[in-house]
Amino acid sequence: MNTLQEFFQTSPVPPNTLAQGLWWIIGLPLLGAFVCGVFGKKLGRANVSLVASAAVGGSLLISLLAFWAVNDVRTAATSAYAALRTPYTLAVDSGTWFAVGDFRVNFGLQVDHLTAILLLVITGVGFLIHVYSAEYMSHDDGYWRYFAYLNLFVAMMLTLVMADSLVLLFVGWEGVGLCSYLLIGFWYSDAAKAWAGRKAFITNRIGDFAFLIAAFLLVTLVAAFESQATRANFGFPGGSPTTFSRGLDAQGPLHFEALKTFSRALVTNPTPGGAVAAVTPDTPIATGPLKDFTYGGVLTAVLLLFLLGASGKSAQLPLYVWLPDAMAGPTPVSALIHAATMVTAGVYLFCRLNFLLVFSPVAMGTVAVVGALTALIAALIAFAQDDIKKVLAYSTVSQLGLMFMAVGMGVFWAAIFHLVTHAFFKACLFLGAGSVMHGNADETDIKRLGGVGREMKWTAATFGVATLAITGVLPLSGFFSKDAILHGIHQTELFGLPWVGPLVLRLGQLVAVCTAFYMTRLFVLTFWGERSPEARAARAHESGATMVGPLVVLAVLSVVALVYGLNLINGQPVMENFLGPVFEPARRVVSALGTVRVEHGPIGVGGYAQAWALALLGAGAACFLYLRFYPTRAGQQAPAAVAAVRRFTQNKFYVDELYELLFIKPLKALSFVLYKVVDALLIDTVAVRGTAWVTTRVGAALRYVQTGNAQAYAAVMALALVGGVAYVIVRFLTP
Amino acid sequence: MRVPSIPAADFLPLVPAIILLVGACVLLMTEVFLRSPSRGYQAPLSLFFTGLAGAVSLSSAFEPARPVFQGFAAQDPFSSAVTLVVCVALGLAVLTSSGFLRSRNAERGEFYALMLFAASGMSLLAMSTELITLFINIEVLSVGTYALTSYLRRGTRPAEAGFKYFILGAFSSAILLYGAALLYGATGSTKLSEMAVVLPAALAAQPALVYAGALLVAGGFAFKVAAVPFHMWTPDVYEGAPTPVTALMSAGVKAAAFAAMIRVFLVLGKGMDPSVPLALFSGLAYLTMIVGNLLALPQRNVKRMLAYSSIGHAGYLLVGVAALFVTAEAPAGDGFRFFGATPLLAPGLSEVAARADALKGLLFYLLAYTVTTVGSFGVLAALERSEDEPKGTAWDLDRFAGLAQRRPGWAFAMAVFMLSLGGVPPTVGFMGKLLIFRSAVDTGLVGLAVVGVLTSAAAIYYYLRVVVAMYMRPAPEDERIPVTLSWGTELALALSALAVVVLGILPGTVTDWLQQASTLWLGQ
Amino acid sequence: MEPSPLAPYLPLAVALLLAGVLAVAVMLLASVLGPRRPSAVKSLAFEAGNEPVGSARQRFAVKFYVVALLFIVFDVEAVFLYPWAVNFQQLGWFGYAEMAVFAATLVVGLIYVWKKGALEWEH
Repeated sequence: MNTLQEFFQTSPVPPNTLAQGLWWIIGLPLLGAFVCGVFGKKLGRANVSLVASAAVGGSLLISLLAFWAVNDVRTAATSAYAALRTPYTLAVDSGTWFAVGDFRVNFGLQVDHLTAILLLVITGVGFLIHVYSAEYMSHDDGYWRYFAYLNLFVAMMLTLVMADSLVLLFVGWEGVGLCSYLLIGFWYSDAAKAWAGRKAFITNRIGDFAFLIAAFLLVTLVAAFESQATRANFGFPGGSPTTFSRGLDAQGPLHFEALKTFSRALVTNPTPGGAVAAVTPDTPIATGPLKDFTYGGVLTAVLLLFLLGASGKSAQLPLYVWLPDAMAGPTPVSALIHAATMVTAGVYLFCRLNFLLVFSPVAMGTVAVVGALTALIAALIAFAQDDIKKVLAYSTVSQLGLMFMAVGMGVFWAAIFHLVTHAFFKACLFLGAGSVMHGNADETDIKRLGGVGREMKWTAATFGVATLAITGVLPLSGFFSKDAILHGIHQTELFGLPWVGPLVLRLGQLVAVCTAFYMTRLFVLTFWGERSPEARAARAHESGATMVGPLVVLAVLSVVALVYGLNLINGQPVMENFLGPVFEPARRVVSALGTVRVEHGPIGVGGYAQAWALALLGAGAACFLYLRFYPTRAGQQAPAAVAAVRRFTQNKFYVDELYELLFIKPLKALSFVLYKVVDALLIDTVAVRGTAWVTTRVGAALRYVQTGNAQAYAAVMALALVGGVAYVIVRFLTP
Repeated sequence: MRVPSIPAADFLPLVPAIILLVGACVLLMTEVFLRSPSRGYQAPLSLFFTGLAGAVSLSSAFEPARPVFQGFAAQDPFSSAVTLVVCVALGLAVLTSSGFLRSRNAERGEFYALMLFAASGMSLLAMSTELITLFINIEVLSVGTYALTSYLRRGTRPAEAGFKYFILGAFSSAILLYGAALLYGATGSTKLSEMAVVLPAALAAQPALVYAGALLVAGGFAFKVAAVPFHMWTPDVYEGAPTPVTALMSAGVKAAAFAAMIRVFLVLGKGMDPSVPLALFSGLAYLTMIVGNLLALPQRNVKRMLAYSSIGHAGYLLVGVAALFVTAEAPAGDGFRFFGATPLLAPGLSEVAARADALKGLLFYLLAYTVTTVGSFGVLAALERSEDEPKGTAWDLDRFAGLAQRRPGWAFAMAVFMLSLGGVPPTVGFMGKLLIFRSAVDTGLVGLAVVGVLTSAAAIYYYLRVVVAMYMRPAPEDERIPVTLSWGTELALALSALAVVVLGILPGTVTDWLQQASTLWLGQ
Repeated sequence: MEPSPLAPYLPLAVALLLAGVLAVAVMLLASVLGPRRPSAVKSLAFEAGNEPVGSARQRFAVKFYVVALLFIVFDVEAVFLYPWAVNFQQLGWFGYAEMAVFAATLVVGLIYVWKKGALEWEH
């Protein structure tokens, strides 16, 4: 054990050397995107996929080194904001990005345990999906365009997780949104698909707007704190108002270390005998536009805005509607972007800002409840969807809801754990669905499939493993991660909101049952039973090695990832121990403010049994219903009562229609009026054309002065000077 | 007789200018001794010397400021930065020149030599700290540009432009010289360092003499930077001069003249009531921004439009100059009141920091304007055909119609330049305006900032007109594709478009550098 | 009250004013009072009593200007050379080098002009 530990704690590349090379992790896919995008047409299909996969593969290798290096005991980044060194963090600061007055943003990357694990997920799953796509997209004309976008996406996602400031993170945030838009609307000649892309983009933009406002508020908040904080606030080793200000001057207020130091200073207990009162979350802000609001209050607002931003990107209530439509894109894209990576950005954001989130039980409770409701509603909608990709999409929304629940209850490590396992099994499921479509003439309606398992043995087997994993059957990874979430919620109580924990826990258990049900339904209808008479292809054919290979790897990973959930190190699950340093700042805030109460206890056998029973209950119900009692196929009539419920869920609870009625129609009407009155009449005619007309007239009139006569020019100059000199003489020579 | 001893180290700051002068001589000699008909080597040769000069000035950019030649000149980060801007402008202009001249069968060594001579004058002007030295360098750069203006002798336009530029330039030089004489009369010295010492006493004794002298000197500079009402030569000369020369004039001459003006008035401003230069430059800035942009509005001739736009940009630069003279406390006595309130620094901002900010903004704006304007004149040079010049349609807006289909690369570059001139993010023009207006707001010159923003908004109209023509109008059917194709032009366009975008998105390194240079220079 | 610093120049200003007024007055008086009987001979250009030949607005060959310019350049060089020669001892090697550079610059110009053929009178 000791030697193994030493092995992991001695990085082959010295951490400081590696930190300088971090840019290559982003640079390689970016370069790949450039090469594929610019020269793709000339390179040919094989070369394009080779370049694209090699770029991501290269990133994967460096990410592995980085992953290794963050465990190195020598690894420590200097913090500019307090004379401290942050252990287990690689950081590189490449100087000023832009500076406007006091506000400064630097270009910099950082890799800590959280980022490291996401790096592996992004580049690892990304690499597999690149390999898979080489065959899946082999008949498409836009082959090179596809790989350019995909590589660009990987680069942007890596930027998002490696950014050391909110601003660079936002670049990645917008970048992945852009790539998602491009890839959803990849087949843009189909109007519905292009529309789906636009819907995703616009929904995301609503969230991004909230994100921006939150970031601006944070800037103001930190500035107010800088001017108001006293020496008593910096009672931790290495902290002082001067070092904090100096750090802000050097790297700016949106740097994560700045925010971390800010959070730490805001909860520092006053030193004994300290004469000056420290600023606490209840202190009103003294200066600036936020005057008289308390620090804690503003932080809650910031976090709620971030929640809106995160719910746009991570498809949570109320902005989840774009994700199911995003299935219009190529299936590998759904696997990479809309299941494994991009949609988890919201979870990542809150885990990254863990030390801010724990300031506000209200915000935490909101996050948890939003997650729970999303999880339940999406699971219910998934019950009656017949499109294989739609079921998986709603399942993704639902699983993301679970992660939000965990984040909201402060069980950050469990959220990340579930994020990782979900990335493996959901990517496997999506790629499996793609393989099914590939082998069945692009059929996506599960009622028109059936019995596919006989012809597609590998696909069926891997899909089965992934289904068991998401269902939460022991001993697959999904069981451990889901259980970690539910167990963590069970142990946690938010200050002042004791009802949130139990509510969320019950909803989560319900979701677990629902998940087991609809996933089993999906698997059973697709792979078992008789082949539907309405199937497009009489016989399915198994996909080639480059498609099956990634499936197998992902299926194995969705089993192996269970290691993270075992109590191997210091009596903690591996993942919790591993992410310990990342969430240390949050623990510090919690212990100072008491916002969250945690009762530690091991997961008992009873808990495991309960979780397993839930999973088996759902799965058994589905098997029973769809295999024995009611094997619905197209054309068969369902009883009227069931049909009504089915229609309601099938139509996704009419949420899209509700939004249409509540927001889109009024907005369209309003925008029509605004267009006619404000834009066309006031702005276009009066303001723009009117001003342009007046200024152009004035300019034309001035042109008459410009005669082309050199004497006149000289005369104007002379007159100006004579006027000036005359003024001076009158001013100074008259007594 | 006491022989002045000049240490050899005093020659070091002159190295960039010496390199340019040697380069010019080499070009003259190759022109007469290498008699091969092909002169394709001349542009690369000029580029070599330009690059060398630029590299040397960059390498000495962070040396502490020190007077050289007994106070006749100074070596400091400011002069290095300006020399660098001049070298950038010169390099890009040389690149666009070769194709332009070859298509007119006029590629001669004199052209490049004159450009290098003029550039050496600009570089030396930026470091002059004595009025006579300063005047001589103004003449060096002026004589070079006079000759270049009428370099293409055929046709009436170049002759007219050269003649006007020469006459009016001589007039302005005379004004400058007269002003310098008055200042000498008042202070008994022509060295800025000595004037600074004597100035308070001189001002007390003969205020009219000092102020009149300062006014006349300002008038002379205002001519060179094309500030209203000393701007009237600009459109005629810019239009008549060969387009690469126009590019050099609008960027390099402007940069050098601004540098000298700032240097002189920072010294004069120390001695006199600072509200005087503040009022002077604010007034010039108001007039220049408004008149320059208004005159550009009705122009359909793109070259003339760019000339007026160059006036407008001088106005924005003058805003930055005015910001240099705002003080933390209201000056004693009644002073000059400007539009009601006396502008003051924002609280908590030290004078040196505010000035360094303004200076950083100015230098960045000069760089931004240089890459953008030289690029846009480059597109113009590539598009114009010599046979259209007598008809006066060589630069008509219609020549840009449908350019996006015929030459998408050029159209894109031109669109980038137009957006940058208009100050639209994410271009370097936006960052420049942002820095300038910010320092105007910080120094309480809110009126200037507001007028600046308003005129920029109006300016978008005429810049976008070019973009609209390129992208939304069909190309004329019978139009031939423009002829001037050369690697130099393409390279210059690519480089400047790249610079415009990259500096617009990542200005950090450069602004840091300029900030350091400004602080280093002003903080002493 | 202190006298204005320009006070000593007042007589000069008065003299200037008088001169201007006088000049204008004389011309005005002449044109108003004098009789005007123009004839062909009277309208001719006055060329010191001779018959005028051709137009007075002749164009000179550009080579005159070139020669004049060159003359001035080397004239100015001579102006610098004399004082330098007088103080040669004191100025030493530094002065020698300076003057050598100065002369070399002019020589480059001379070579250029020579090779360009600007010194050949008949072309």
